[in-house]
Amino acid sequence: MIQTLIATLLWVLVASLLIFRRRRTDRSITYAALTIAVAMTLNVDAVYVAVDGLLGSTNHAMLLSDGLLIIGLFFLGRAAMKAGEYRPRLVRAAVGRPALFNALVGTTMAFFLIDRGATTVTFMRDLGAQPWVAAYSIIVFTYCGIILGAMLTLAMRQFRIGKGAQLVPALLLLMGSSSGIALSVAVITMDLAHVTGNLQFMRSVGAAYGPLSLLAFLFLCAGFAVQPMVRNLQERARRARTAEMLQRLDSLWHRAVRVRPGLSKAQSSTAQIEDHESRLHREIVEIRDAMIDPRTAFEVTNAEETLLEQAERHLLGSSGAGANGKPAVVAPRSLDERDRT
Amino acid sequence: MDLDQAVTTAVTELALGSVFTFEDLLGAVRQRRRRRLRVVELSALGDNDGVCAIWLTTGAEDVILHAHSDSVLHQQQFVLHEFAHILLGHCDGDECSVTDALLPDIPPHTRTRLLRRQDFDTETEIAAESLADRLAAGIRGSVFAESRYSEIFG
Repeated sequence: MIQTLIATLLWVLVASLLIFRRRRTDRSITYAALTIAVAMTLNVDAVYVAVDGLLGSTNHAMLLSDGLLIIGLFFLGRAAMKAGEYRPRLVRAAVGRPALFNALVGTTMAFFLIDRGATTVTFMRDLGAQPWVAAYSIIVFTYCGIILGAMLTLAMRQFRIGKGAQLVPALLLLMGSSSGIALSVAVITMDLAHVTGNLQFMRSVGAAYGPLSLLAFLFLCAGFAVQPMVRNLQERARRARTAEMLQRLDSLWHRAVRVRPGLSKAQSSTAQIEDHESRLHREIVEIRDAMIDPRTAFEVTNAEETLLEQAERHLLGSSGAGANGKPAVVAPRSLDERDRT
Repeated sequence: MDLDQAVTTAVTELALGSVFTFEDLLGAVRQRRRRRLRVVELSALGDNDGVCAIWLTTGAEDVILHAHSDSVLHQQQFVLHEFAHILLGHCDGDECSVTDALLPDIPPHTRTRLLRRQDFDTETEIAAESLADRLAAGIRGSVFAESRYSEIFG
């Protein structure tokens, strides 16, 4: 039941990414979600039995599923590396191609040393006492833990620097990565308990397996799905705000260019500027030009000046800083600063 | 070459891409001129005839003097307009005039070329202001540029 739920969650994530990230150039996260979705679907009992039947009924479907999981995690790790700014050599090596190669070769070698028998949907429970089964599972979940560790570090950083709605996906990814790491630790502990014959201890730790699996996939899927939605909403909100500012400044700008024709009058019309932000910039500059030109009589009310300042703050980013926290513009140097030039 | 083409060529020749910071741009302009470039606020500049900024070029350095404005965006436009004159090569020939009345206290031998942002009634001024708008868009783009995180996960 849990496996079906997890597979469903992953396919919903894949659909969501295909819709909300369709115009994005980097596809790492979509490849990761797609590969892991196929891997998790293979873990659904009915699918597992059917696929394993096609592969000779000796649990090759397990190797296929875990191999795909490792490849999916590799895409995720690569995405985390590309997105993060802190990339020490050790971490790069842990999520790079050599680590992927080692994980795939290690699991494959361990898998073929297992006395596997016929198809079973309780592979670990039935065969976990074999050392090669423990080795196989430990390799898979160590790799999983490393990748989720990189993801956790990234999510924590995003949570620290994010603002407003951006905090939601960061928090979900933080919780998902933490649950995933806890799951990896739990599985490795169970593997060691099983192979050493501590079955009671294995069962006690095993009680956490189901909830941790569900929480890890639930939070990770939600985090990865919500992130592009938040970006989309923020972009739409900014475009709508620009259009609103243009509309509210329209009469003030017309008054300004009547007394002091600016570039828009010298050329043809700002209506020709297709980009709304560029048009807003031009209108603000022309209003400000009229305001400071001593040769013209152009007065603005307090309300109009407030509106103008709002429009400027919108173009420069709130509080003079943009979405990425950088200062909006570097103010020109003053006379006092000339020695630094 | 028409105005749009001249502006586009100037932006392309900067080789800064479509988004850049003010500091990137300042560096590129300095590199182009291969000389010292100072940007200085002169509060009294706009008091009489609506002059917002002046590019003063002497034998040793370039100086951009700009009026004060309460608006950061507006003040930036003054400076970008003068950068635009530089990038468009408006003082590379004998186009620039020396206006004694404007800066009477500066000895003529230190002042060889001069351009100012005031009215947009000549092709040169229109081109400079158009390029300034494009430069402002590039700087604005850098402010709102996506983080690597957002490019990959957003």
